[in-house]
Amino acid sequence: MTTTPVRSTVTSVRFIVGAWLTLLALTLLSGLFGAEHAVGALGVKGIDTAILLIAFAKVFVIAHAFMEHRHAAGWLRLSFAGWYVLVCGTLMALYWM
Amino acid sequence: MGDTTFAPDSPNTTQPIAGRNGTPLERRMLKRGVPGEVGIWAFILTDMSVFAIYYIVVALSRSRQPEVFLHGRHLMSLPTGLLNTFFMLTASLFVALAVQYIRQGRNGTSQVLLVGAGLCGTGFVITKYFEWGAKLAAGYTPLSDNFFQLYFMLTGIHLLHVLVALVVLAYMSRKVTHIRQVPAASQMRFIENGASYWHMVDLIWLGLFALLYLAS
Repeated sequence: MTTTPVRSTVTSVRFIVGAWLTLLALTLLSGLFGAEHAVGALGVKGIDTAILLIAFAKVFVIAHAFMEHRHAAGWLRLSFAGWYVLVCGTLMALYWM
Repeated sequence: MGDTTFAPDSPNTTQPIAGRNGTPLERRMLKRGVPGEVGIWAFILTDMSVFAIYYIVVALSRSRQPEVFLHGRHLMSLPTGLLNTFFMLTASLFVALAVQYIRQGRNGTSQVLLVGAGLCGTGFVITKYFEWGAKLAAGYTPLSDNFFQLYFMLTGIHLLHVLVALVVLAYMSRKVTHIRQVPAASQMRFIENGASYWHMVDLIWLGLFALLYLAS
């Protein structure tokens, strides 16, 4: 019995580049929050919360787009989701203390 | 449309990847559903958990000595952190694109992308060298205070990961030279493993960047 080798269809280049541009934009946004003059109305805790949320949003984009989690098995996505929630939640609680 | 099929997990195959037209056995293997091998994901999740503990140590240490951490954070160079983040993200972009092009059999393009990723990774290492040099020249060492102890230790451990990732990249590039048109399942698994490791190194940096360079 022979098999016909078939190239798998691919995640689109546009999707990957779009994810990268999103990551750059989120990085610049978090940089603005992290800069000295950006405290403003949010206050220090608000700024720290925004920085942490943006960081974990970027982690999600990397996992979803670069690590190809949008096509991956449920157990892998669930494991990562657990990591996001646990780690981000713990850090935010500590930064709010 | 746009579904990605990952390389099957069969240990002894040198057969080209079979897609939807493959045998029932191959179709079952393709249902593994993770890039690379399950083992690399066990490793990645473990390493991410270790770094999660490091992040929490930073946050706990900061809560006990907020003025030390604020002082340390003010001494960090945001432009340097942004540059290094750019290097990490762009290297990941190139690696992710390379994987797609390898699946399409466009090996020459994928090699260029892997070189690009290597250059970004090297840029990160060089920037880190100058960043550490500046800190040490200014008299800040891992023994200065808790902030700098964590800064040097965690960025140092991450730097080791980057150096390993550069070696992995070289092996991935070498693997691509052995591909004849369509990659065999074992070749694709190796490349997906390496790419996943690289993205993990990028991901870990994002946490360090937020905690050491941005948050107060």
